[in-house]
This record gives sequence, C-alpha cells and structure tokens, in this order.
Amino acid sequence: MSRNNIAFWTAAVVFLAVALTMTQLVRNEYPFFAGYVILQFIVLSVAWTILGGYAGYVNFGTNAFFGAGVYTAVFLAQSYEAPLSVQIATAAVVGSLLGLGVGLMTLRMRGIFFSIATIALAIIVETTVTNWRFVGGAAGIQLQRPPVMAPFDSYVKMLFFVQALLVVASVAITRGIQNSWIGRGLHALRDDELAAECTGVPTLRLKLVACVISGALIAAGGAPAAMYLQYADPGSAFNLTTSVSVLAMALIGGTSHWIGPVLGAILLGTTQQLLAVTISSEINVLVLGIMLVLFVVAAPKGIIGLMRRSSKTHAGERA
Amino acid sequence: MTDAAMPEPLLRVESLTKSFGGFVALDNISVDIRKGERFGLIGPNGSGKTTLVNCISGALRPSRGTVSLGGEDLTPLPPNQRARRGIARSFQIPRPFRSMTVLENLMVALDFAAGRGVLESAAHRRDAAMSILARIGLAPKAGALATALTQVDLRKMELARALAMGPKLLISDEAMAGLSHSEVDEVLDLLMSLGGEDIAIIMIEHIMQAVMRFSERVMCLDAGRIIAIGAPAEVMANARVQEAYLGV
Repeated sequence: MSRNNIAFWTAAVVFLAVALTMTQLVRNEYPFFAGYVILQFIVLSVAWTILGGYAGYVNFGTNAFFGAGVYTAVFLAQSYEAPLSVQIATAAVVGSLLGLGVGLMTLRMRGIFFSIATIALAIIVETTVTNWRFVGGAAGIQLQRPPVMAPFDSYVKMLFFVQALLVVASVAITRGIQNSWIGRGLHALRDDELAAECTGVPTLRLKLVACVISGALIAAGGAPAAMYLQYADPGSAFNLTTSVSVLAMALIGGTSHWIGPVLGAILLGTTQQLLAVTISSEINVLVLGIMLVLFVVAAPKGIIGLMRRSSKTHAGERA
Repeated sequence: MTDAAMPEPLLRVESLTKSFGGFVALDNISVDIRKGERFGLIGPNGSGKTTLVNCISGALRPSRGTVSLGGEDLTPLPPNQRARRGIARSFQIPRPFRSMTVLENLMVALDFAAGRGVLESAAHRRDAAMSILARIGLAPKAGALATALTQVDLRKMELARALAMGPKLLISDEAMAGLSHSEVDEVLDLLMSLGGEDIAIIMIEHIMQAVMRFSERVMCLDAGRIIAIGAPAEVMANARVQEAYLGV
C-alpha cells in the first residue's frame, strides 16, 4: 500500500471512530439530525462528481436517482419490512440500473443536450411514483421506524453513522476511479471526446460505467432518507433543489479531485443547516445562489482551484 | 499498382463513398497501403483529404464502401476499436488533453490503445512514455501542461501520443502546418524515421517539398475523386494535378 493509501484509510477509520464515539457520548439528537443532512450531501456530491466532474457530463437528474433510492426503501419497508441495509443495497442496484438505462439513452448526446435529458428523466420517474398507489402516490406515505439496533440509543444517531459509512464508501470508490485508468479515460474524454476515441478510449462505455456507479451511489445515499423523515412524498423526494444543491456543492468545491465535493458539501451543507436554525429554511436557496455566483466569478475551479493557486504562489515565493 | 505488386495490403480502402446530404465529399475511393509504406495525400482544400482520414480512423461512417486493416473489416467499428487495432492519427488542429501534462497525454494512449494499463505497472508505462518523449525530443517538457506547449511542441506531442499507441498505421493530418522551415524539417525527419519501423504513414500535407521528400507514393484528390496516384514525380508531372492543385 502506498503512503497515500495508508493516509487515506487512516483518515477514514478515524472519521468513522469519531462519528461512532459521538453517537455514544452526545445525548442531544439535534446535531445528528443536522449532521445527517451534511453527510448525505457529501455522498451525493461526491457521487455526482464521477460523471459531472471527471467526465464533464453535467447531470441535472440527481433528484431522480435520489428519489429512486428513497422510494426503493419505501417499497421494501412497506412490502417486506426489509432492514435498512437491504434497503440501501437494493437502492444501489436500482440506481445503477437506472443509470445504465439513462446512460444508454442519453450519453450519446453531448453537453447541454445530456443535461436537458436528465431533467426529463427526473420528471418521468417522479410522475411514475406519483401515480403509484402502493407507495402512497401524490399524497405521500408515513413510515414506521423499526426498533433501533445496539449500540445506538436512537434511530437518528444510527442513521447518522450509516450515512458516515456511505460517505467513506462513496469517497473510496470515487477516489479509486480518479486514480485508475478509468479516471484517466474520463478526464481524456472530458477534455476532447474525439481525440480520446482516436487514442483508444472507449468513451461510451466509460461514460456508462461512470453513470452506473454515480447513479448507484446517489440512490444509496438517498435510501436512508425515508426512515430519517419517517415520511416520503414525490414532491420532496424528487425535489429539483436536491439536484441544484448537489451541483452547487460540487462546483463550489471543485470537480477535478474527490476532495472538492467533500469540501463543497461541508461548506454549503453546514451553512444551510445554520441558516435553517437561525433565520429560516427558505433562505437556503438564496444563499446557494449567491455562493454559486460568487464562486463562478471569483474561483471557477472551486475551493480546490483556490488552494492550488495559493500553494503555487507559496512554492514560487520559496523558490 | 497491381494486386501482384502488393500481395498483402495493410490498409485496404474499397469503393469508399461519403456524402453529406447532396454533397459527395468522397466518390468511390479505392486504395491499398502496404506495411511500412510512406504515403503522401495531397489535394486542394475541400478535396476530401480529411474526410478520407475521418472515414479511416472511424470519426465518420462512410455512406458506402469498406475500410479494412490486415484483412479485418473495420467499417462497423467505432474509433476506439480501430485505435486499438493499430490506427493512430494526429489532428489538423492539435487536440491535446488540455487538463493533463504531456506525460499524462501519452499515458492515455498507453493505458487504452496499447492495452498496457492492465498488463504493466505504472512505473513501466511511465518509462515507455518517457522513452517515446525522449525520441521525439519532448522529454524536458514531460511534466508541462499540454496547454503550455508551443505550436511545434503540440504537433510533436500529438505524434508522440500517436506513437504511444503502438500503431501499424499513422495518419498525420497536416502536422507541419504553421511551422517554420527548420521545424518542418525536424518533424519530417521524425516521420521518416518512423517509416523505417514498419509503421505505415499517411501524410496529408500542403508543403510540397515535404511531400516529395517523404513519400514513396502520392495520391492526389480533387472534389472527392482520385485524380492521380503513383510515384511523387509522376503525380506532380500529371497535368490534372497541376491544374487542380497547383493552379497552373
């Protein structure tokens, strides 16, 4: 194992240990309730970056994959009382199949056409669920949480830890892609699709792989949301704001490295949670918009771009 | 030019036709290129040279006709499959992977076209890429971003990237356009040295001395048709070539 790998996995283990310890020591549920949302957005924006960042195919249909994850969980809970782990695993499968289907239909389109097609996808999936009585239809559905498992004393704390596990899984997968030949191929096709093809990169296949993995992780990240809210309705599960938030987080963090969406999600997610408590939950969207504009103008390559720029000038000063 | 003279062509283009709507860009082109051949492709602007290259490399699908390499029909294959079977090309306007360094540009070719990503260690591939760069004279710029290169270095990098694919056929689409005299000679020497290694090269070029010096055979296209093919001196002497291309 290289030194980089050791550092990464040490950090991952420390992160999980801290998350677990917090659930045991902190009595108040609220930090976990808020923290869950931030962790969820880390999963979503890191997963989004595989296709949207590395390959440069901007997916506006995050809400379709997210909602598919939520409703997979709802369906399994309703019909089989399936445990959370099964809900998440099945959501990942459903997300990957959705990614494959969407990818086959849309990834031959380039740039903006792909983005528009993903919005259409979200509407199709939402309409389907809205007309599906078994999972509550347009009115939504109340869900009963099963008893919580040891060592956790509350379901929200458990969900917080589960989402922390998903963060580690999605970051590890995304990082693995970035450092492999798949990542190199995705970067090549983002830079120039024809040149990539003529250099032997199977662009369509790689885009499909990216779409499948990205879709699976987004759906998995969305699955616990059903039990988190104990309620699901198509309007919120397929809310376009989810797509916009995820996109903003990834862009603000920077999309050329997996750490970008992690930083973006922490920054924006935390800001949103603080604003929701102190001012109102409606102001989120406004702040999101303002920050996105600021970053697009001042730091088009996101936080990563800023950090690289400053580390370069430091290096220049030293030299 | 008979079949007996070239028993086993590397590349066979057979009755290739490409039309865009009502416009016929290539009209029934047939040509064979043998292993290691240095082949010049000339013709006035808009005569179909790049369209032919695009049909060979797979960027365009021909309307009719076939392209085969070493006896295998490539016509239904996408560009990446053709690249892996040994067709490499440079572009008329260089198309580097802009977010990558020169070395990384070559690594893409090694990972995918040459299929070495699966077989060899990263260090091994890095060495292979460095030795190609050394040969092309780009080794000192291995760590530079592709966007920081000068025009001549960009051209060289495209050739290096094509070479890293381990090609059987290299198509150089105006690799010398916009270069100075000494730079043209530099790139030309490079291409000449490759021909000696069993890599067939199709060179599209407007610089006549370069074509004459380089080619074993020259083909001249005009309005999508072959108007002359043969030894460079013969083709240049051809009245139709002089009329169509040189404007004499």
